[in-house]
Amino acid sequence: MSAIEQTLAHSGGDTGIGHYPQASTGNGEVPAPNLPTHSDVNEELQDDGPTIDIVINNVVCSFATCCHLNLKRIATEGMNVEYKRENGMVNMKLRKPSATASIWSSGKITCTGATSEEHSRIAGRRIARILQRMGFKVRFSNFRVVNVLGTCTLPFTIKIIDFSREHRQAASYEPELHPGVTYRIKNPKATLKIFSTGSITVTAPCVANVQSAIEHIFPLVLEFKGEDISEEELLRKRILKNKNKRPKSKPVVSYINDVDSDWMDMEDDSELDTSEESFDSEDSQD
Amino acid sequence: MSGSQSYQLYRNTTLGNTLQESLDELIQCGQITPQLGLKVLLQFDKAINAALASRLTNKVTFKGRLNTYRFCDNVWTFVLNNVEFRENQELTTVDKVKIVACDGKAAHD
Repeated sequence: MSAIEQTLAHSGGDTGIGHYPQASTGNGEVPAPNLPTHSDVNEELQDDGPTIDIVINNVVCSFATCCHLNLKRIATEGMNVEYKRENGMVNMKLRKPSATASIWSSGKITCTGATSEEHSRIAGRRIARILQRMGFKVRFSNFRVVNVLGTCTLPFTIKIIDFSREHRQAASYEPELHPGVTYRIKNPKATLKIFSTGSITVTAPCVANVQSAIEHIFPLVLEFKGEDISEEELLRKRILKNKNKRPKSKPVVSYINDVDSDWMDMEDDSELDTSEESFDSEDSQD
Repeated sequence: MSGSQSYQLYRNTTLGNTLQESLDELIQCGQITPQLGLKVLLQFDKAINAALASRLTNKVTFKGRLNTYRFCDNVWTFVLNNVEFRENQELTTVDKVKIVACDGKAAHD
């Protein structure tokens, strides 16, 4: 058995040999990937093991409208907008999917707060559609996801001092500045913040990188495992965290015809329902 | 030389509107000049702002669902639905209410 398999086998009967953290499906969570399985793994251990949830908290995207936008007009005619002249941009919030767009007069728009890459794209298109309805000659162009923030909680504590000593080239730990270790990886490109409680936050340019980053770091961090955190502790932590969160949201869009088309037809509104009448405040995050 | 101007927020109220209509009538008849009418309105702005800030003690609370909001030029505009206004054991419900709010601190400094 390799060293990794040995440590996994020794760490309480739960973790299976050759088991890597799996992301579970759900809203805003990464779908189960095709994981590499070790060639001489027992068949019975391949199936069910404990999964580690990777929750995507924030997806930031950027796109352009290829036309100048009159911020004053957007601020006076638009709904759910804030305009502070000192910032030089208009903030427009969307209810479904929940997102905030920062709109500049040059036509550049940054959309934050979405929970998945797909939601981010839909939010961006909805904002562009609202602006198009106001009369601006909007063309949805240059969409790219800029940043994805994901978090996950490992079921064990981590000895971060020893960890940071072992990985001096990639890890940076300044306890006086920040209580977590900042670990940067070049391939896949990602920045992880590892905490002694076992929580890890990852920021990367795409969701796939977040996934790979966690998979990359898991064996490295396992080496410096502290104590196991029991299921009830994990459950209690999760309940506390979700106390103020909204319940699972309704589907954002039932069917999108042509997601890749950059040109938005003025007439065809059906796929981008921008009306907020159906929004039920019970679904609100606040 | 406009001196210190107060918010013209209260001109679109029952009191403010009736004042404006009366002034327009007098101007039509030529009994006062338009400049005098303007001066009266400016005085009205000052008086109503001062009165609301100093001569009120009652408290009203309201709760409803936020439909839309807007913040531009330091003015908040809200549209609420299904709002309940409560004042001293008196309840009033309303389907839709539009609230225009200016900064309370900026006017009195």
